[in-house]
Amino acid sequence: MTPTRKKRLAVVGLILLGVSAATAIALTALNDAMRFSIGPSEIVAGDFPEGRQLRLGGLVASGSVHRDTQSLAVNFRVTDCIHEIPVSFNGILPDLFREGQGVIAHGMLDESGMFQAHEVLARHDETYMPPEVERAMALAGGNLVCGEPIEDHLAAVEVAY
Amino acid sequence: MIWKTLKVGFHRLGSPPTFYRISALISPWLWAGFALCTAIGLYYALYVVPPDYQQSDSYRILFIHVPSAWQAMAGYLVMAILAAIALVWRIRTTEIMAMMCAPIGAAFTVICLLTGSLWGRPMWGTWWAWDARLTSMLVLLFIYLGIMGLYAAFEDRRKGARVACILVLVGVVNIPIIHFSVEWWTTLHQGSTIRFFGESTMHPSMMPPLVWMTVAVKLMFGAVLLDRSRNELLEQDRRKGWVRQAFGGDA
Amino acid sequence: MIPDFEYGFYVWTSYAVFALVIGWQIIQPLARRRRILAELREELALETGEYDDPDS
Repeated sequence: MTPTRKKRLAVVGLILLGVSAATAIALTALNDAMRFSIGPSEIVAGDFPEGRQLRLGGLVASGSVHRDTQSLAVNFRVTDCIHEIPVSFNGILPDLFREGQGVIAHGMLDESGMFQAHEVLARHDETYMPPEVERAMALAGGNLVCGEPIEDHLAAVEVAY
Repeated sequence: MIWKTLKVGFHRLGSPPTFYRISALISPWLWAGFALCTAIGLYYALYVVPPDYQQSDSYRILFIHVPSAWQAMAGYLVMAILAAIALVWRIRTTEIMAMMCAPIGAAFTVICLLTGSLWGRPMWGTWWAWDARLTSMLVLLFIYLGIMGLYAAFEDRRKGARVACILVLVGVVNIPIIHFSVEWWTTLHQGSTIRFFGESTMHPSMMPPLVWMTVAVKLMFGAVLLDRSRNELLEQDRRKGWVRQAFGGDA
Repeated sequence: MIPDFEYGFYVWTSYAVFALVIGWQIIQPLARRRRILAELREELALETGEYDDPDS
């Protein structure tokens, strides 16, 4: 390699190094702001005052969904398997909304500690499988539950299959 | 001895007439492979694989969304390597190839963003959210467009390519951010299904279309890259001897 | 023949977007090549004096 090319290669290396370092520092500083949602435990810990717009993320607690028969109003609790936050929402829920499903509610806490959501989004996990496999898994008692690591879940799939 | 042969071959490939000839030989095969893999992939994706237990048929969007997303990122890495070679060795064909990666990568980024939106609406309940994954993918599109704009803004193509190549290097930092965004921060977007290390969380019966479409899209990237580079070379060298010689006959 | 999917609108629109963008990636280089070759032929014809003015 000629000396000129060596020099140019060094410049290329320096550009990459400099940009990576600057980005790493910026992202570390922005770490909290980069999060799309926060969990129930953080709200319970009291880091977020009422009346501030938040996105609350977690699982819909089983047995907690109560739908109003007259309107679209619905109440449920969002859990991270440690703490639960009651959520009230009036609107159309996504098709994936069900108990045990990951959701993100956008809204704010009121004085009573109820989370008033104006939008509810469903999260889905990164697992894809045919319905028969899922049914077999449910029979084998392998339905994904709070706190169960995804590896156990997959092992159950394999057994059922 | 082998090293020397490689080096000579490398420099020969860099010569425009040789590149022009060889790319014309390779490109049709890449196109044929693309057509074959897409046909098989689409057949599997639309007719063979079962619906998902949770998302029913909507997850079939995955078979174009994920290969496009991977190609948008892999295409950027290809472009960055070509750009680094172009900046150090100043080989014109490499400069051109690096520049021609940008519109193809941008096209795949557009496919990824639009199909993602069409998937998000029925499943998440929204067309768009400003979470880390979606936002960093949008940034990738802007970087691609910026590279294309910068290249086009210079009257002198070589100067434009050199300046744009530096932007390519600067933008490469966004690629790991896209990839790790779902691990580093909480996002609306779910985590990675397919993992290089460790088990993938997709049932084996659903894998074939993903594999076929991924290969198809890679072959297509190569084919379009060669075709676009040939065009760019031809246009830049239209007054040069080798072009006159090659096309003088059929004028 | 055409499968009836749940969420069919979203699935088919996605595949249409894919087809359109890929189609554009196929057509654009072909069209550009035709244009360049046409211009090249014109230039060469002008130089050799064989130019046949299409407007005359």
